[in-house]
Amino acid sequence: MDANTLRGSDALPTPFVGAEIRTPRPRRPWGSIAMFLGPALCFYFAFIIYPVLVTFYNSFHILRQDLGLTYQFVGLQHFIEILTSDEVFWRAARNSLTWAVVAPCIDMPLALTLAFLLHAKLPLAKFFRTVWFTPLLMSYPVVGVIWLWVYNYDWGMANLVLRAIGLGSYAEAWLANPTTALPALILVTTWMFTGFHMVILLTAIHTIPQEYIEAAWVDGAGPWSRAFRIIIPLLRPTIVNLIILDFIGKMKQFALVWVMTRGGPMRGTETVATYVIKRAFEWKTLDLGYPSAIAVIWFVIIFGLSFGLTRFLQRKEALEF
Amino acid sequence: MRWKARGLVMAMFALIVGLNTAAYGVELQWWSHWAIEDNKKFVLFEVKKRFEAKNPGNTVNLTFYEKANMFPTLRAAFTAGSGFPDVFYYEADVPEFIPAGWLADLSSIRWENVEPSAKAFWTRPGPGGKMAPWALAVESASDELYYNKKLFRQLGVTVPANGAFTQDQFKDAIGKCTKAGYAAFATGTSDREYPGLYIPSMLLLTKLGGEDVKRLVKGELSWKDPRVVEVFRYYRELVDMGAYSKVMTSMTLAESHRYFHTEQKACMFPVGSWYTGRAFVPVEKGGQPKEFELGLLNYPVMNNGKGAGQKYIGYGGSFAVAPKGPNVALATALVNTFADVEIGNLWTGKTGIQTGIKTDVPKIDSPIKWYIEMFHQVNQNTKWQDIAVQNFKLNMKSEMWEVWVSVLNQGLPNKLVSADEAIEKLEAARLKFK
Repeated sequence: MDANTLRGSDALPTPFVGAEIRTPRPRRPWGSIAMFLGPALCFYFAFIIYPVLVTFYNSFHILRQDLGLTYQFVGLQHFIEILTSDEVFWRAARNSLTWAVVAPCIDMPLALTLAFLLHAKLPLAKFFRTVWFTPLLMSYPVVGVIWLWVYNYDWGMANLVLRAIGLGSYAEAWLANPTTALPALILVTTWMFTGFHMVILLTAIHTIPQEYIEAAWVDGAGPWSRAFRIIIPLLRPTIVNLIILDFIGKMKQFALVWVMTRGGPMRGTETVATYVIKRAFEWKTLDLGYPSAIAVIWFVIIFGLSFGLTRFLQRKEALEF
Repeated sequence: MRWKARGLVMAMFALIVGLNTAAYGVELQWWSHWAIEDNKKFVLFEVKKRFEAKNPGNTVNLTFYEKANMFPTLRAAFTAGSGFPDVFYYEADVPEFIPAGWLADLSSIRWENVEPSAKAFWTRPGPGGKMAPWALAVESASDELYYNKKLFRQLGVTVPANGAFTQDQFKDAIGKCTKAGYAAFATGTSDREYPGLYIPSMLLLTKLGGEDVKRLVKGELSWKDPRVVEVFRYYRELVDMGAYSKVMTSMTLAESHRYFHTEQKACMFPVGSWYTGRAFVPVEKGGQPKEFELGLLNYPVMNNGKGAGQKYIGYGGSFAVAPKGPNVALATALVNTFADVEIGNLWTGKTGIQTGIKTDVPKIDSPIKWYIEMFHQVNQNTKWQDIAVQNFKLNMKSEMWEVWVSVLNQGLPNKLVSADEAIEKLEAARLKFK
């Protein structure tokens, strides 16, 4: 029944004739909302938002720890110095960007392959799923120590395997050479995170309706066609999200480098994060302003690149099934 | 009346708190490095015991941290103005703490029981340029070159009577080691920024002499000085001969000790004389085997050098007091407990490492007396230069130190740069960061 049908009705009192009926909106329980969200928001503001704001503020100052946190406003001085004359920053930025670009190019295809293998019900699938996922459960320091042993020239597994298969001449001190050190670290993060990507992709594959795949099979599509023309396109949103997360994670890489190489040899694995920590806490200067400026610049770069990557990779129309 | 009653309650409360404090005393917080060095810890606990006996009612809570984690924590705590201990381990890794005013003036301790050079080492400009001794140097360490007597014997390497190889003899010794499949030096640079600095710094010292090395470190002498170039080129020849193990970059300091004395894969070990703190502990705790034949050399002498017979010495592990803590007087008394010849004797006897505290050598009772005697015999004519490799950082700007470490702890020993490229980088840094 609507307002029209009510007009002239004997069931309603006269004042309601010709009037629109509006259902009153329920009142939001702001008190309860504030009570439940408040603590989390306070925590988020105190430990996430506030430090970011303070970092931005510090980046425009020389901040002397030894003088009781004295602030001296210097405007854009730090930014100009970093962008025009800090060779170490640019070296670190290059390393971080290389890592962020190369790692997803290896992680995604590998994770997709493993997801397909598990989806195809290879023998001992549950065992392999656990094994491939387990590296993600380890912390960076533990992983770093393990891989220091793996890369040990004398008795590390990498060189032992090479020697065992007759490729002893390729045995290297992998972390001693800038040419091999960064790829060696990229391999470590691939080992750590491929399992995570695999699990997400496997879940996404399982959500694809079987009818699509069966229809393709009926139409004569082989396994490769089904994979590349049906499944992967339908997985695109998931893949894009994983690539962006992987990209951002590698741009912020710190702990693994700190444990394994501390940015060496000769800045071959220096990342922006390790450089910021060294400038802030290991140099004789007690100024936090300069490293804050590095952190701000890097934040802007990561934000900009992530935004651009998202716009470039994501489709405007959503796929629904 | 009401305010009188309140006043009375407050006064009684204050009295109760004061009495309780007096009754129960103070618990001083003391942070130290050396978590895995039992011999040094023994001495610290002895100091703690003596302090508590002399100051009844007051106790000491001694906590051990790795210094790499402790110094950033201290920096944050001092900046925040809270959370710092009363007494803390201090050394030249963080020279900026002194002008920052984070160390208390220790003029009042018993300096008559401390070596004058130890007091002079930490007497530096503090906040506002004030000169005072800011820390007590317990550990004094020289940069030494140990060797494996058994390997030298097997390889036919003869150590000269004065313990110092000439340039050619040193190269010959290294050649014999590497040809036999050993590394010349058991150096690991994975977790420290200075192990790779020892050999080139030793060569620079015997070539330039102490005064010119100090000028070089301070940036007053060019890295392109012909003598420096000669040293770097000679050093690169040693590296090219395979002087360093290929595991150098992934080997930690602790592992390098084992590499030298347990695995015996290297002929020599350039390291601080605090080697003994890690070596003379039970084997199951990483100490050297009883049958290991440890020898000690003097620095190889560069041709026509000014520094023959010289060695680096510096002060390492020291203790300082936080000036803004609530118990400065008691904390200073705790540090003062170190300033005692008996503690100096105990330190030397237990660890085999030199100390900034005065010692009475005949009274030193030690299970490693043989080592102490060997050390004194090899160094009887040594002219000590009061700057150790780890202490170069005190005299270099941070940017310069970074380049120095990058080139000499990583670049040159891993053959990533030539000698001339290394010199170019160092000179460019010297001019840029003057």
